[in-house]
Amino acid sequence: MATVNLKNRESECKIVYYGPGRCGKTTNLEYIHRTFKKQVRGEMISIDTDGDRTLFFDFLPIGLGQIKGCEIKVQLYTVPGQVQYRSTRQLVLKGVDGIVFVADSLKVRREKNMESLKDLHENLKKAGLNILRTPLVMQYNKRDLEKTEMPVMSVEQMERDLNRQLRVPSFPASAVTGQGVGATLTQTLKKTLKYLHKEFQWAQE
Amino acid sequence: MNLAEKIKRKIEEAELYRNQGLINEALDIYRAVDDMIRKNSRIKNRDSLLSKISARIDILRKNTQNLKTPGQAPELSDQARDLIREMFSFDDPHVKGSSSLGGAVSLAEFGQYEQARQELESLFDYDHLRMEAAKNILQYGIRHLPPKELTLVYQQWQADERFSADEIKHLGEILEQVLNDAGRNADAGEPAEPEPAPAASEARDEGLYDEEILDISVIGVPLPTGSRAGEKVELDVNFQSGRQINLVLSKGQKEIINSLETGGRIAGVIFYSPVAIFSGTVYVSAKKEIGSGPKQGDYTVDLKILHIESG
Repeated sequence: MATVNLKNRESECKIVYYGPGRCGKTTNLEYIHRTFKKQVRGEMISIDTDGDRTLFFDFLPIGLGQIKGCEIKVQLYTVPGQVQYRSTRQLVLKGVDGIVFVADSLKVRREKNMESLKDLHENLKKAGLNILRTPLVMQYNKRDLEKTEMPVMSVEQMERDLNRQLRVPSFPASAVTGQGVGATLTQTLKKTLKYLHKEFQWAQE
Repeated sequence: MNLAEKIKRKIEEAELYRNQGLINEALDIYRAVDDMIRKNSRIKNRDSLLSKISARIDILRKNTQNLKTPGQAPELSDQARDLIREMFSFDDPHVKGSSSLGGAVSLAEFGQYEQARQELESLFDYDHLRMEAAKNILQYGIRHLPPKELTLVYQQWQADERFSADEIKHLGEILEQVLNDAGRNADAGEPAEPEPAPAASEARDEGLYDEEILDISVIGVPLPTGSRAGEKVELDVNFQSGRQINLVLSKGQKEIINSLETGGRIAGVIFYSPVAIFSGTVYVSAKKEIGSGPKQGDYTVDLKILHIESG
């Protein structure tokens, strides 16, 4: 849950990048770390295995400056995508304010995307949150592979698989090239801040 | 596309998956290529190709084994530990020292048991935190220490003057409970706990689909009869009301229509929902040709979900 300091007019919220293993969550954060230098408030911390897979989480603190007189700080996290790290995902989800669901556009990962979305749904439920009410944005990653001859799902199919009922904003993206990364984050922040504003009324005009 | 091109394309696909860290997917493709080559004796350099592919398969297989057996939690840097203490502890602002307790518990949750234990033991001097700290040492300890060693930890506390007789008695009960629970888990054949261990309060969330049938967008049906029997086809759901699903099949899908016989039960059906994927059994309750309108000649099929399995 976001912390709001009314006296100092400061708010800190938590955004979690969720999705199946190897879908590009860490790559999203790495791109943000490299590109949005002005907003980045500290080092990116990654706890990964030898094989470059996220073991616990990645963490990147960013700042948005002042919005309506309130200083906004944001903690960006990723979860480990591999199935066996479910309890770590539950820990990282504690106190989440907004979520980016990163889905893999490769056809062979279709079921993994759906399983991961189900896992998110269940873990949010355990944390007392409802997936339909939590600020959520979809990102269809690895769109750069469309240009190759690799079997990639169409955006329409991914919308149908993952977003037919949730109907949340979605972005085609390529975390390796940066396409769609900023747009995904911006939309997530907008949705999250709007939600928090409603919840806390922290920025009364 | 000739066979050589097909093999080349498949190998490129496998290499892409391997580079992306999708080891199982790469392995599946290499196995398919291996099969393709073995079945065709006219391929040039067949033996050399097979040996290269077999070497790739061996490496990938080893990689998958490494992934399946997550090791102990790694020793974290001070920076990472500080972050975990700061970001994952939920303290009670009214209880002095609770941030130290919360920080140490967070470390334990992320598998940093030895460090957590040291920090928890340092709280034994504070009357209001001692029991909570000791309880956490036992509760997280069972995931990291053999029962004998954990019992030894408790025995050392028995000689520690900071604990009262009542506290020691209560901790003894907690230890017994923790050891019993661990024994039960072992009897039930539960897999070794991956790092970090699940929170103590975690309970398996069952019955989600017993309470409610989620909105289903697509179903994957193994065709029960006909020339395509056993083949799984994905069909869009036209309408759903609870356990009742309606499909509209175009007249061109004759084999599928014929295969779905009224009164038939079909097991192994996959239900795709935007928030879940699950499987179960359906009953074909009705099948009717549409007699008029733009879909004249198409078929409408009603299915009832009889049984849901976990996803």
